[in-house]
Amino acid sequence: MPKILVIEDNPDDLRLMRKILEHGGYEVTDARNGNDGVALAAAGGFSFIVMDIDLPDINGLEAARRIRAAESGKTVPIIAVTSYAMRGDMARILEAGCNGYFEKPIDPLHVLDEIHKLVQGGSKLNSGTPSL
Amino acid sequence: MDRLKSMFIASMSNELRTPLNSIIGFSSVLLKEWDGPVNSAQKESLSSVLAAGKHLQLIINEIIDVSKIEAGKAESVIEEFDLQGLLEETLAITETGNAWKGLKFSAARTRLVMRTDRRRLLQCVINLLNNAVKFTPEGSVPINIDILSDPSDNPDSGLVGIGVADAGLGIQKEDIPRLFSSFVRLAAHPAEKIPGTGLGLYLVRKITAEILMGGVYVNSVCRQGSTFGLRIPIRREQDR
Repeated sequence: MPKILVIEDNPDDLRLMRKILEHGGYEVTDARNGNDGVALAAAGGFSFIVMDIDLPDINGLEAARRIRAAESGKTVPIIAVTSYAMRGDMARILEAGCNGYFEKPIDPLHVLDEIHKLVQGGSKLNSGTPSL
Repeated sequence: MDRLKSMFIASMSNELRTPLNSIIGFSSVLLKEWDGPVNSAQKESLSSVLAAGKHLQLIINEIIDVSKIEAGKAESVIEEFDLQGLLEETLAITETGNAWKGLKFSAARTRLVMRTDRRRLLQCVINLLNNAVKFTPEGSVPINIDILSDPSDNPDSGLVGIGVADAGLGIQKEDIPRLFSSFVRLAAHPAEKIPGTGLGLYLVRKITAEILMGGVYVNSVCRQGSTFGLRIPIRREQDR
């Protein structure tokens, strides 16, 4: 069973993400803040990481940078989850080392679909529901 | 002031998305019966929760869009494309979203190749179509195209008009200037409850003026319906 690290401080958002991923057959480990997330990621063993951007201690961008800086975190896919969708956000998320992002509110089936694809080998996330 | 207002709206919108994540996410999951069977009455209630959540999401997206445009922060991507392909895409999207109403959607055929912000034009035409759907009880919703100056004379000076006709009651002359303002909802037919955000036409006007570099128009005949449309340059230069 592929293991996923979810770094999310909002209990409801965490419960939803856990439900979605467990339904998809993944094993979920969670961290409630950025520092704990970085520490767990450093231990390795995750197929990918789901990262909330708005965290209480260090933000998700900083956490992604720190994960990428460690040897254990060079290649693991990181997907950001964000409710901020202003100009330049997408670029900052990618610059921090994330492979893509989901915009809140998330669509459970879309999330599972994209994550399945990512785990099955692709590294590019076809993300975001274009806000029409 | 406009800038402050836009920043406030954008941050408020972000605050609104977090509770929406639970509303949309959990109602979707329950409807899919991942946590066990749901009976048909419960499904109906959950569908209402989900639909209301998605409607709120649409409003929030429109508010964010308006605030970005008002703050001059909207990105634009200029590309070359066939107008025909874009119109077919808008028809497919509108048909899927309004299948329950049984209207017929159609677009005039055109070979026009345009150069402008395709995604924003698509957004405007979809908004006009959805607006027309609300005011068309039955029958068809056509998109009309007219090329207002011949592009073969000077390929950089041509304008194209794209209009969508509805079969509504028409609009009183005195109401026309208010139509493209934000949060203006004209009194519709008393028997009809027409859903909407009150931002659709305002967004169309803003996008048309500031990204597509054109203008909007409305032609209305009392008791016969209205045509809402935009007139924009066929080829927009790269720089704004």
